[in-house]
Amino acid sequence: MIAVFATLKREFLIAGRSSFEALTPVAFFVLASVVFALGLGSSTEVLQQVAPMAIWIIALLASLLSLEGLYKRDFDDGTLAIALIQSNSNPFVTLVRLLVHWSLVGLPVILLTPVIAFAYSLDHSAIVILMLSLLIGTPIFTLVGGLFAALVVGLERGGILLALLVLPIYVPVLLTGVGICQLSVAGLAFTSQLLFLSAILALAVTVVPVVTQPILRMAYGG
Amino acid sequence: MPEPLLTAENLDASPRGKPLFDGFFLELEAGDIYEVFGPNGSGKSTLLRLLAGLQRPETGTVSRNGAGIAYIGHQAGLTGTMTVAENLRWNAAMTGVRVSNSDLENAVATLAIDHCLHTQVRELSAGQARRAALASLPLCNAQIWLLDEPLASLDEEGVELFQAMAHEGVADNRAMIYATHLSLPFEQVQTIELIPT
Repeated sequence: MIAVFATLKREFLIAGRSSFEALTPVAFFVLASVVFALGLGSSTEVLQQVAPMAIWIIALLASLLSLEGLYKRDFDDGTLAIALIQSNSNPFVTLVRLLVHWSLVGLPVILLTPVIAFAYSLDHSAIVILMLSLLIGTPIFTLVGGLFAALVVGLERGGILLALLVLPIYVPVLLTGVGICQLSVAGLAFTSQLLFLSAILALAVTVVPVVTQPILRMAYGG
Repeated sequence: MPEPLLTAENLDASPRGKPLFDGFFLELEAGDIYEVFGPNGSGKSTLLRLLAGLQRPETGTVSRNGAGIAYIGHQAGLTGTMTVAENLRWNAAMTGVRVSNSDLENAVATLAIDHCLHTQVRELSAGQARRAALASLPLCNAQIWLLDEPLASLDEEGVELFQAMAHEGVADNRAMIYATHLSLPFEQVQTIELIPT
């Protein structure tokens, strides 16, 4: 547990000292959402219809924007090797890193959604459902994206490859998340979609931290 | 006879099809010091990564008898935006150790970088950063020290201080294997020479 808490503290410390880098995905989310809303014009009906898809896609891209750096910095300075060897590949160390990544990207996106929703003239219930779907969906982006970030960590300029690998995996999550919002607006039941998304999250939380460690070792020829 | 801390049996390495060594055998016991010699590209770093468990051998096995490993590779293993103290605390925490302030101060004093304790690593010289990385070794709960070119960037004083620290570590029932191009005058040192095949 000492290793886990030390990593938690370290990740927030590094993020705090590289605040520009840490804030970039959130700034992108805000700017892209507002610009998109402005571009759609003033028709309330169109804005409300497009809002879930637009906000979900921009949240996905914001998450993708910061994924490459998840393990790359530590790989380059040698701390990744230390973490893998000295912690005996503790999966909770990986889990805590992913949690910090989500809390710096996914969580601000969710918290800013009510503000962004004004630009799309969303009503109260639509905002709540959108936030709920993002609360389940954004950790999946971080977890699944983290797995692929581990896969490309040893590659120079692996960012493009990472995007190519991860986007097809994100699509079902995106469609399910947007589907939840649309069903809710139409007054239809969306529990099964919500449970499906929750099941993916549960699976990712269980599997990703365990399988990430051997994938990271592959960067060293392991 | 005490059980070895680490046993490597019949290790082969041929990354990207280039054979480096085969049939490598080692029994590492507490108090052992091994120097790994060999020209560039002979597999010194690969051997250390195999022993550390970072890389999987193509054939053969590496088994540890519950002994922890502290590893320093080509890179110092320090985060630039963190201070020396923060790096050392995290490094030790990875082996399950919560470091006290006095232990931390002693560790950096051993390598004469006490004045750098609260300096961010990105502001240090390469030699100071290497000293800071080496200072983490006695703080870790690790009986085996695996060091890849630990003397790189160190000045004469740094080499002497590292030697004194290593002496103390080995006397404290640890074992050390380091890859180097410069032999150190340890009394009980044993040599592993890797000859390109």
